[in-house]
Amino acid sequence: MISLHGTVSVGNFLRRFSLEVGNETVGVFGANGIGKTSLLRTVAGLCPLGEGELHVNGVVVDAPAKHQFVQPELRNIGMVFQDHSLFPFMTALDNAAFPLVMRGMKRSTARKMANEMMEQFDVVHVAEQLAPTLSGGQSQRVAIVRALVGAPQAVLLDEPLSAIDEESREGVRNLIREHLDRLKVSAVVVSHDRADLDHLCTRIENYTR
Amino acid sequence: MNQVSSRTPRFVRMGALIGVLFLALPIVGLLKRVAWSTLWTQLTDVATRDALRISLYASVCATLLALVLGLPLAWCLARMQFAGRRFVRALVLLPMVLPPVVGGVALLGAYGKTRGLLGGVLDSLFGVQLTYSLSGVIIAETFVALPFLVLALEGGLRSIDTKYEEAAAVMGAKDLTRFMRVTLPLLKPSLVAGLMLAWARALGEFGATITFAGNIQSRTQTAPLAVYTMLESNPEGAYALSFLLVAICVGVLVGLRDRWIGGASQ
Amino acid sequence: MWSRTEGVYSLTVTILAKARALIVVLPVFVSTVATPAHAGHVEAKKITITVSAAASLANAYVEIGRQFEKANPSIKVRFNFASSASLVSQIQSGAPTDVFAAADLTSFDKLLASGNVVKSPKVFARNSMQLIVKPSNPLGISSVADLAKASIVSLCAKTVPCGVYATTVLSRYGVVISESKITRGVDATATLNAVSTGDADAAIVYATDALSAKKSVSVISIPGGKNVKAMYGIGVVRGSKNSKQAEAFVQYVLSPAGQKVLKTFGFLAP
Repeated sequence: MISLHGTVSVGNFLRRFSLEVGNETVGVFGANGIGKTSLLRTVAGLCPLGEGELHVNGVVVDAPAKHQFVQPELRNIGMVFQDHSLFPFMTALDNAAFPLVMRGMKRSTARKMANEMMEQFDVVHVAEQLAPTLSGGQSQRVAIVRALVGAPQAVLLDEPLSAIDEESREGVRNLIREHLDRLKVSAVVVSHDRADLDHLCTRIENYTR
Repeated sequence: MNQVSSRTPRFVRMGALIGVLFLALPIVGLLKRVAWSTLWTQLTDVATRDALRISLYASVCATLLALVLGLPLAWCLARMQFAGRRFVRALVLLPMVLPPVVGGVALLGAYGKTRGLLGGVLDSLFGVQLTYSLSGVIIAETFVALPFLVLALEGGLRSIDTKYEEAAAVMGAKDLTRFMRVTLPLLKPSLVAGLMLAWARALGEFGATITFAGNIQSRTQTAPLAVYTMLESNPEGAYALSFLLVAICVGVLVGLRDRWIGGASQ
Repeated sequence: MWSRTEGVYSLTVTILAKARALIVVLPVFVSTVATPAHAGHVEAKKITITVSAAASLANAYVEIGRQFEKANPSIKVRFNFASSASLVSQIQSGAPTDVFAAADLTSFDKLLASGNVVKSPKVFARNSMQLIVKPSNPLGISSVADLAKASIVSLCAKTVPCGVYATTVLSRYGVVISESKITRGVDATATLNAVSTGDADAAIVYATDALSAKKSVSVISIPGGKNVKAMYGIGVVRGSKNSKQAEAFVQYVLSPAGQKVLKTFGFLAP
């Protein structure tokens, strides 16, 4: 459950957003620069709201008027970043396992779990390679695994299929769909590709200027 | 790398050649003055051995102390907005600009037993005397080496992309964990370069050390002090020790060569 | 255009490659040529002489220099103060000096042997050693024999004159101080400073230095029987380009005027 009603910093401006996500996947569609990424960053806790309130699964995580703010590290949200943001000094596997290790899991167990999911996403063969050596498609798959592996309580995906080639697109879409269904959480997908949104989301929000 | 940027003009090559000669000639000159036949005897002389031991121990301790003091400073300078920032930055740079002897006099003013601001207190309450002690050597060396480390770390902190720390935060990494697991690895090239510079500066410190910690053989006489003291009484020993210092520095620089240049070469 | 500059560059490269010595000599050449030219422009025909003197002579010689310049308006004196031993090395390495004044005569023996001076030095003053402690004298040191009580004693380096004299004094008292309690100053001034501004408990320095430190130290005199008589010598250095002016300075130091200044600063007559 994600409930955001308030103003989000988009560049130098504040833009008013209203977003209600239940146990479903909502797509966010709109032109460049209207604040789709800023919206996701605000839900994740990387930017505070200007005013208004943000609730995640019934908990108030951001309410400037009440001086309430929950740090991103405590929100247990899985996120796929637009440029993947994999840690360049770690291997693909360690990157994928990172959220699990952060939530207290033993490293070996975490690596095993991440390995299994990486296998599903057909990217396990580059597990021991350093992140910068991966191709765009490979690193995006690892980023997706990293977002989903920790059983987060909400999932945010920013252009999650932009680097995936046409052939594999449908397969990866289905995998994401499967995992989101299994997790039974709110998810928000930002994408330029209407086909991706149609396949992944139950509802699409169109944001215009 | 295309044709234009990889072609080096003649005058640039010439300038580089002159630079190399300028640096290499003194080293060659020093090597020429070393009496190779008595080198081992000179180096194993008690005073020389002790000077080396003191220098290596003190410079490493000073570098670590500079790290402990400098990292928080660098962080605040790089990432915090606070009043008096310019003042703090000037303060950090001061030991670098100050003539070392003046630095030593200033240290006396702070930690000297007789008239120092803090030194008198330390002596009367804890019986601790920092002057004329190995701790004094470490303090003097830390004082001059700290700016180098802070500058390198601040530069590094400013240059790393915050997106990785943000991703780490979203993945659940709390402040200290985030710093240790993500920021530090990203900071590695600047950290290594900064530590190298700080260590080299600490190792070579003379003016502040001799003023604050004195010149006590086998106790506070560092290698540079020993070389200076031996210059009249035992020139052969001075050249021998100088040669060894050069060899140690070259050795460390070569050993850390790849990391010194940084990940860019990868 | 490019080929012409190419030619110039390659010519320069060839010259540089073949004349490494030129690069070494060039900065030295430039500095020695540049300085007199500048000095010459300021005032017509002023001759500058360099006087290298022992550190303990600093205060007295600066005053003598001032008086000498007043009496000889066409001569300017430039001083170089360091330990006598260090100055001997400098002179032997070719440092340009016109006059040398040392805190002992052994320094001159060395220079006579290496040919840097040709005449025997003139003794122009004598000095003795004194024991100095902090004004409050917290350790209650009353003589050299008490130095075992001190935690840090400041002495000159063993091979400079004031260090040699200190060693003699200590041996006359039969006192042995462990090296780990001795901080060695590179010259007399540094040795004094360790007590006057630093944390050293005591030092054996020249009587003249003890005098100049005034209130910042407390002086304990060393009786004549155990003391040393330091003989200060002065002479013109061989190769001086201004030997006439250099000789004039030497004469001034030996003259009643110069001797008066030395006496004011605590030196004894030769």
